[in-house]
Amino acid sequence: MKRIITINLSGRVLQIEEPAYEQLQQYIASLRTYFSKEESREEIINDIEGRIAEQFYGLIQQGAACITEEHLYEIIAAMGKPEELADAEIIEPTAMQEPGASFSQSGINTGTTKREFFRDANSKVLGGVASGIANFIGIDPVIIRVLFVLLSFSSFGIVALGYILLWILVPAKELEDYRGRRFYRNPDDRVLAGVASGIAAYFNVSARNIRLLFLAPLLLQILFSILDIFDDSAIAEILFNVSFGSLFGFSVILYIILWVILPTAETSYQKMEMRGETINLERIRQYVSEGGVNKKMEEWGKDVELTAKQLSARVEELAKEAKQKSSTSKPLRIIGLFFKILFVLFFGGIAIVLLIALLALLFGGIVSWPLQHYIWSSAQQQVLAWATFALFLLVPVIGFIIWLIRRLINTKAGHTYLSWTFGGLWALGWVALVLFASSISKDFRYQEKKIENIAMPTTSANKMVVTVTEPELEYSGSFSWIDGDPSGWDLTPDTLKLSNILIKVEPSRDSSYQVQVVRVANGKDEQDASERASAIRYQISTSAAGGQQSVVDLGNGYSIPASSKYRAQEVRVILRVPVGGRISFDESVRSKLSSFEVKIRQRTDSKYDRYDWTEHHFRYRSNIEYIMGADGELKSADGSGPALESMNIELEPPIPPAPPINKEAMLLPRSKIYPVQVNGPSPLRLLLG
Amino acid sequence: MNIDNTQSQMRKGILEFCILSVIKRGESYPGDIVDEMRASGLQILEGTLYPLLTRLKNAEMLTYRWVESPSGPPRKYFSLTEKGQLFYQELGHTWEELSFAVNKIITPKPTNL
Repeated sequence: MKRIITINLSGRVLQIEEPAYEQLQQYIASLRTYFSKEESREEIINDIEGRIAEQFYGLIQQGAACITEEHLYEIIAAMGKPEELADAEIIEPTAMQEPGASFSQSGINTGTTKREFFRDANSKVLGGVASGIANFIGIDPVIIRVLFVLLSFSSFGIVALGYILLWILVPAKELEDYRGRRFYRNPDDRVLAGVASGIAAYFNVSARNIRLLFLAPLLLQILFSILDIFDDSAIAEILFNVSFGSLFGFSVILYIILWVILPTAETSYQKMEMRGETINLERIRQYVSEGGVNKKMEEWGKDVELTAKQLSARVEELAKEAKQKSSTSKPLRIIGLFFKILFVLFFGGIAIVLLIALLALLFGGIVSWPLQHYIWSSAQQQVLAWATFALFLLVPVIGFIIWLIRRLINTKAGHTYLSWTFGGLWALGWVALVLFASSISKDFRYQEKKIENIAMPTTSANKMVVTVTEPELEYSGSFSWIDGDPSGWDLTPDTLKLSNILIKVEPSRDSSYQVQVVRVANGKDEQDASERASAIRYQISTSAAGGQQSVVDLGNGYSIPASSKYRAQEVRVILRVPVGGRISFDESVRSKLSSFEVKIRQRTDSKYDRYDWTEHHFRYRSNIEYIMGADGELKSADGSGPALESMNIELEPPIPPAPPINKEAMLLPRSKIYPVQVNGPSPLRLLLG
Repeated sequence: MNIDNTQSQMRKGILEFCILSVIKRGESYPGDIVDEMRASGLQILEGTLYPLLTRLKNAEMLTYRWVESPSGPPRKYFSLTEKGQLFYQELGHTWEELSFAVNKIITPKPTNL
């Protein structure tokens, strides 16, 4: 007695005996495996299915009531079983591409000739990385998956990050399925979930041995506890318990991981794979007729019981197992849920961090929005900057979040075009980033200085007072939400103003006071840099107050026009004081020019190179008169001496001074180094104004 | 040496040529091709035909169109493309050379030379 079912094969509705249908399915599955190397596998399978359907239809038209196993065998014999096809194979796929390739390679078990590392788009759990690695080295992907999970736990996520990196970097490809021995859980022989017996089938050893291996740490622990061999040493006992306890913990975790990861060998085909037997149809038939268990048989257990007495014992076992199954499926579900939660926590955490980074980036972008006019020097740079921002930073975050959401609500992308699009956009982002960085760095290739001599009033005065009468530079715009001290800079759509003027005091070559303004800027070539330096606007006015002293009134900041962009422009003011001349700084210099230091020049060692100058940063005090000594150093008039900071030494090519008059004046006597004085405002304090 | 293996090697080489010959004579669907080949005494497993046709189609040697069949869904009817024609001519040329050479070789040499 055989059940007849109605199937729809390639658009034809056909009556077929159930066992024949089973055989047909297995035949198609075996062809699918056989043609897995083939580029257009599905097309070939469809054609073959269509042909079989046509032949079935022909049989029914000739008067057959339904399709029987005999009919099917006849058709399969004409069509060819995989192992026969392998023998009769006309051309290898490779031979088609390279004429002249030999026919020697044929058959189902030949491996691919050239292996490259790809992510597997075909059989993946997450990103196909493990499957790709397994394909690359030619082993069961499950082994790599288990390794990944275990190492991720033990490396606190470092391996998981490696996985993500590979996911990002390695391209995906539809790789052929792994063919050969596979790890499965064995449903026919199990105590808990069939993990141990599945492993045993893989290694072709007794399941009992594997079970013992899993339980060994626990058994050993119990055994040693009973024997109580450590009665003397408590420490040894603790060590022992800890090591065996953790080993047992490890084996429990391993078992659970395998339980979740390993598929159950449901079909005869999978069971063959589990045992590593060469799969062909002949064997499957043999296996099925030998009474191998598959899911379908469970369903018609009663039929089998009636028709085949030798199977009845097996069916009873099956019924028992079915009972077991219903009792184990609940903990399995709970463990599955547990892993899902872990997964959500882990990747959700990453997603949140990325989101925060993105928001910070966006916010930072808004804050520095007015600055954008000062960054790119060409439309090309602007395009590149936005491309970098959108493609390099935004795309991966959005892509990841989309993927995560899809993963969580369990919708699988039907096509890979989305990931390809995101990957492609991100690659473009990389290109934009590199181009932008190189373009910007080109703008800093050359540095040019423009030196301007400021005319001094003709007085007989021997004192210079440095002051800033302009109000302190303050931000005048409307970004009221900018937190902190909005002084020291100003920004309008067409001008950027900065107050960090560097002031240097040097001995004058003659008996007059001199003031120089040095404008410095970078550019992609000398002309670009020098044009940019010339575009810096900085105002110094000098006057003679009462004939006794000359007043140098420094501007509160220098302006950079938006058209010339910000390319590390700066302004240095060089004050040259004649020997014996006096100089003092008004309080306003410190309070209004946010960051500056006075430098004096000293020669360190005249023995080898008399033009070897060292610059010492000098912390001046406000409203104190300093006198330029004959040795080129400033001393305060009250004799307390300047605060020298000899730590901060900077060598710099000397700026050409105003034409020297007296050659002997250049040969200044050797200086003496003052000890470091720790009091006075710290440089940090000075910097912060 | 396995006789089966040698036989199948010999057959493999000419099957593709034969299939193209059948298609060259007129548009045909796989069922026709198999019937014709069998009628001429060339045994062929249908299962080898489908991947071969698909590969030839992918290599743009063949093209196909769907033709309504009297019974059920339409069938794929294959025909040679221009590229396929050239390919076939090349193969035909080679076949002539081969058969001439093989025949010459297997014919016993006159001994009275």
